[in-house]
Amino acid sequence: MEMEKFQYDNKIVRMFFWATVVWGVTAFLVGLTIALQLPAPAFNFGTSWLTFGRLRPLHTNAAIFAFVGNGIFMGYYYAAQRLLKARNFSDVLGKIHFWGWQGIIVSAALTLPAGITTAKEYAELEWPIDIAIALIWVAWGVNMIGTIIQRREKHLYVAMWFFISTFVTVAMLHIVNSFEIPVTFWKSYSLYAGVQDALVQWWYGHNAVAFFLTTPYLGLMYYYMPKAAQRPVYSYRLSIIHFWALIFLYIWAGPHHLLYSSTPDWAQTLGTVFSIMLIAPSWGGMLNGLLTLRGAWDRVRQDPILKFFVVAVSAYGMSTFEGPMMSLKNYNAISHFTDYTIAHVHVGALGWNGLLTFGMLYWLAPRLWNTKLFSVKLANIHFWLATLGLVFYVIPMYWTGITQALMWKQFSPEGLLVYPNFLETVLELVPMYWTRAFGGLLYLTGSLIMVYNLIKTAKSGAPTPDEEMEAAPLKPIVSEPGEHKHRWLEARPVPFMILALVAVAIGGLVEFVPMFVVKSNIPTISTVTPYSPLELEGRDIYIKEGCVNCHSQMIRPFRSETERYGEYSKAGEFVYDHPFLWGSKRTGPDLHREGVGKLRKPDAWHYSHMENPRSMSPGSIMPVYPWLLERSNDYDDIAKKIGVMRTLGVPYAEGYEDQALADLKKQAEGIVGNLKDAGIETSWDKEIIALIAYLQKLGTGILPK
Amino acid sequence: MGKVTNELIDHDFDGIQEYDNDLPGWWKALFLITVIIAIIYVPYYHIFGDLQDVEYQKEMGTYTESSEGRGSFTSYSSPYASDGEMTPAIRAQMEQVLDAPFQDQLMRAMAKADADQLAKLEAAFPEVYANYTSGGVSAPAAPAPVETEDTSTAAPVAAEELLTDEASLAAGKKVWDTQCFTCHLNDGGGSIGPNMTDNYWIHGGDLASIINIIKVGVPAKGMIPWETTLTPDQIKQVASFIQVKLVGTTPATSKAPQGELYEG
Repeated sequence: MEMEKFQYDNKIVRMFFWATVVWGVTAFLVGLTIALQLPAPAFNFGTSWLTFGRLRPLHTNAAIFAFVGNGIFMGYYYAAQRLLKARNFSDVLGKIHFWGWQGIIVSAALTLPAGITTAKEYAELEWPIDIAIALIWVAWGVNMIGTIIQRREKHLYVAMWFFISTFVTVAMLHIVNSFEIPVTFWKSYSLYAGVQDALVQWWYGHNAVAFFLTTPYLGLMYYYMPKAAQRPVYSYRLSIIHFWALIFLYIWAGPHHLLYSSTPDWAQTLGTVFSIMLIAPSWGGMLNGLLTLRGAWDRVRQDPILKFFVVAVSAYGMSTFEGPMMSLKNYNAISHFTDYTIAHVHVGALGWNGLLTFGMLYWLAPRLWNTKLFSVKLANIHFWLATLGLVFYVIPMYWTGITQALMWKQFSPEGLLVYPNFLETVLELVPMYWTRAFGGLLYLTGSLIMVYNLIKTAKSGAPTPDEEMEAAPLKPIVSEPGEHKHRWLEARPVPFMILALVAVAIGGLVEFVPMFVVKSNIPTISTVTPYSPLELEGRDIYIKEGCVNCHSQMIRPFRSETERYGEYSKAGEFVYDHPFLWGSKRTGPDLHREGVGKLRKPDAWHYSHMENPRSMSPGSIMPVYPWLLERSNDYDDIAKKIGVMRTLGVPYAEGYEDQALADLKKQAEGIVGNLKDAGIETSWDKEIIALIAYLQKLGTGILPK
Repeated sequence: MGKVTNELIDHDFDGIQEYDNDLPGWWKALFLITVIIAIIYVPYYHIFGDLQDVEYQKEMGTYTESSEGRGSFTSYSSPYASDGEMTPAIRAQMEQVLDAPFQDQLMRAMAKADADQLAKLEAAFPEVYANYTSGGVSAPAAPAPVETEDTSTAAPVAAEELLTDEASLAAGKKVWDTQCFTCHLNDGGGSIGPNMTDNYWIHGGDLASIINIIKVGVPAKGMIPWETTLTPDQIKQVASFIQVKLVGTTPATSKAPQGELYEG
């Protein structure tokens, strides 16, 4: 048979290699900064751009899409060419992919601290960037599909299955969750409202974890683990079962982020039961990884790369067991809204993604620069710093999560909350926040040692030229007698991709269709009114400042919550909320009833509190927001905003646009008057006025003020 | 473990080989068990168990048989809700809090309501509506001025005895220093809340009135109703602290007097 000559492209791998390193360190650094801001708010240096509410999305986006994203592409471009025996379909597309992705990251790094955000977690980027993400993602997909079609290997290896499912699923998730109507170039409103928006968002958010942090990394593990261990993969059959079970089941589990919320019970139940069923398929990946090391455990002692891999896969096993436990209602009632969740995600991010990436970097560096690793000793030191950093990070966070949840729930014999002041439960945690920051510092230090080691390694060698390869072209695909069914599928990428898409589409469809079609899922409440123009503008300031990162707006049906905050939240109260702002973490108290009952405070209280929270709540760890008192807004966009909201189904009367600004001003003057009575002089156009109006509106839908 | 044959599949990808080992038996068992748990879980909650609204009613002690089986969250309706329905459980819960001040607030709401809302309110609170139309606590004839939403304070309260022992006053000071000072300042000079040192009182300066205001608050002006947060003893201690330790002192900055001089 005639052999074809071709070359592997190593340059694109090196490009993503350095991007992974640079963005990894950036993500850790931003993480450490916001970790320090919790016990010491002064670490935002008094600038709006560096407040916790704005930096936290930057940290999560940098960790997920910049660090892990580039890690995926680095690992993919190296492995896929070799698994398919073909050069990448298009070098140009590869470059577009690389520079496009870095451009998206840079635009995120500029817009998020500027307060340009949609407020939907891990989907904060505004609509122009959303479109860019979709295009660049498809560029990668086309490059992948093209390479698969030009392959010289009949069957697709398990790593490729995971890459294919990653591509189709993330494309689906990103597009569906990003439907939004633009108001201006940097502002849009989500197509969905309230409960529906929450359901779509957590279908996306949960599966960003599944199909961005998990499936591509399992694909990478299936290449780099056997490569590094030089051992065969433990079980081909296990790969098949756990792959299909994992992608089919994962997509259903999103509503476990909404337990005890206003989401209908049936959706919550689906979230729980599919999470439970995910334990075994998730562990299938861990088993195939760890059992591949049979016969190589003696080498784990000496080889830092294998050490990184073993701890990474173990962390994966731990967090995929813990996830289903947190999906049980009684467990979730304690863990949700606390630092427990923060600990959980960092076992995954620092442990599974971080350590696997470090292992890959150390494995690839000598091969990409045709040399030896500069220092195995430094790599070992990095391993111990990273592992200890992980321990120092997560243990205090588990501790604070449980401590705070128990304090929230404790009643005295007289039937009163023992800690009625939310702040008391926060101040209890401050020492642990310092410990967590110390863990983060260890982790960052380790990664800086790695940077030094990798630069030294690269300098000691020279970029490896593209390897010359030779292989026979692919013969026409024909079925072989007695061939296993899955073997048949592995040789046919298009049916494989369609089947994967069907598997991941089912769960979402079953959950969305009833929620959007059946009206009784969200009982209407006639007293719930749309936001006034001023309140709408205030809500946009709330979104801009990232308040949702620390304050929930979802009072769960527990006595401990209704005693503290007031009547629990109803689905019908959120029908005009584009986007929903339920939040996922209570670093500060819930705000859903901030405008009613015993939580309602005078306008002057809010004014002073935003200027300096410690003047009203001594010891508070909330940042100061003096710029809200100074910045004026001319509300040029209010007419457009009203129009967009009406398009989305909010019942503003036709022509209300023309009156909106006058109404806004009138309501603002009322608040200015209240402030004046309390001895505060200000003017109607300050941002603080709109924010106060919004806060005073919260929770008034079902209860009189 | 399943069958571990360690037979290699006759194939490799870039040098990576795969064993054709069976799936571990315990793994298969684990998968099966989780599927069974998932199947049991659904009826466990949806048929035999409590969904979250019933669970909440039971926790609050407001659960009754008839409130069951209405599905998620439909058992609750706002008093103003369009479909106007209220389950007996919620009804009972509402009645528990329908004490005089709340009734009074409801009647004020009725006075301000348009015809449509008034009809809904009538359906939800027939007794209060009857009271309202017969000229109950606050007659609708005279539109209630917004500034006097605190008529509850005028309700006669049994005379209270001033606490003067140091232990009680120290306890009262502790409450003051942890809760009250944010609005009234540490030395009682007043900022968002009124001055507590000048002996001018908006809602009455006798001990019983002070205690009552601390209990029920003045929500319209931002004074929190403390009775769900502080014990009756604590409320009495802090009220005594105000009268004994604050009134008559000279704060660093004092807010202008509001209300009337108390000459008790």
